[in-house]
Amino acid sequence: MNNRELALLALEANAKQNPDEKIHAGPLVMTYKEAIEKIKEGNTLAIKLVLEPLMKNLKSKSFRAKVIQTLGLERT
Amino acid sequence: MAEYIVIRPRFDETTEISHAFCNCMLEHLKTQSKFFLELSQYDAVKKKVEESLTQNPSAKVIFFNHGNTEALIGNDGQPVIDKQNVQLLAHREYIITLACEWGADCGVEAWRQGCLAVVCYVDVVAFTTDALPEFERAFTASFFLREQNLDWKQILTEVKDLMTMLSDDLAGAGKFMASACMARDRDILRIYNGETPSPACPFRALAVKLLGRLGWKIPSPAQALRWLKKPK
Repeated sequence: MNNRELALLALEANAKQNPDEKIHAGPLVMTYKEAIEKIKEGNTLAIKLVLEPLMKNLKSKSFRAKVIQTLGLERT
Repeated sequence: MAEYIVIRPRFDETTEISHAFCNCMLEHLKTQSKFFLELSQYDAVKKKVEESLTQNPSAKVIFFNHGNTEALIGNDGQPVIDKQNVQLLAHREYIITLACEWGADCGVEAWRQGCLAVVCYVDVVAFTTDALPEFERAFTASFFLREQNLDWKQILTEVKDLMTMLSDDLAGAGKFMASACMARDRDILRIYNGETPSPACPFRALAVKLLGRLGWKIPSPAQALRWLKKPK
């Protein structure tokens, strides 16, 4: 699984856990669910401010391991 | 004379939160009986900010609200500190900001004009509402560390270490987006004084390489133009 797919799954997990919580990033204020929709629509700002930081963090082994463990993806 | 000026507009969902982030600093100042001036909401506009800065030329400045590369934004959505009046920050001990992007340009100008320390961000600042106490701690850490008389280099290191720790803790708690925002905010945090700004202009970069900090003293073309246009 590549970092983009994993980042989106991590975001979906956060959206399920905290449906009312929001991300504030400059001009963008959105729930996790709205962020996922914007990323899938190709919104460049959402990609830069939400998806890319998650993908960057996934380069850290410990962060990646934690995401994989939380999502129950150990075997994939 | 006020020792601190705290500027905190409040006019949208994000500034409701950034306004609240300031409360812990104001509580601290009250507890320590330090004299501060608060410019909140309708008072956080250019005219009042300029008046306060002029009347209190040595006050430390805290600004928690939106911004961009060119300006810090007031309650009316208009600039309160931009390149036209950034010299009002000269010779102050510091300005601590939470504004997006300000450190990429106007924050550098504040440092060049003689503000002794500029705490700022060079890109869009992000936070999530499922981790507000952690973000508040990170965003106000430089203020509290300075209150303990640490030097700016130490403060920069300590704040970045704190943000790394908070980011790890948030990941451990399954708050992945909060963790990623915290790590990103850490990476875009700058303290000019604890470090020297990186010039975007290749000529400035060459001057800084050859002359060190002095390379920043050479006026930019915009500054030179303003100087020429100034009535003598």
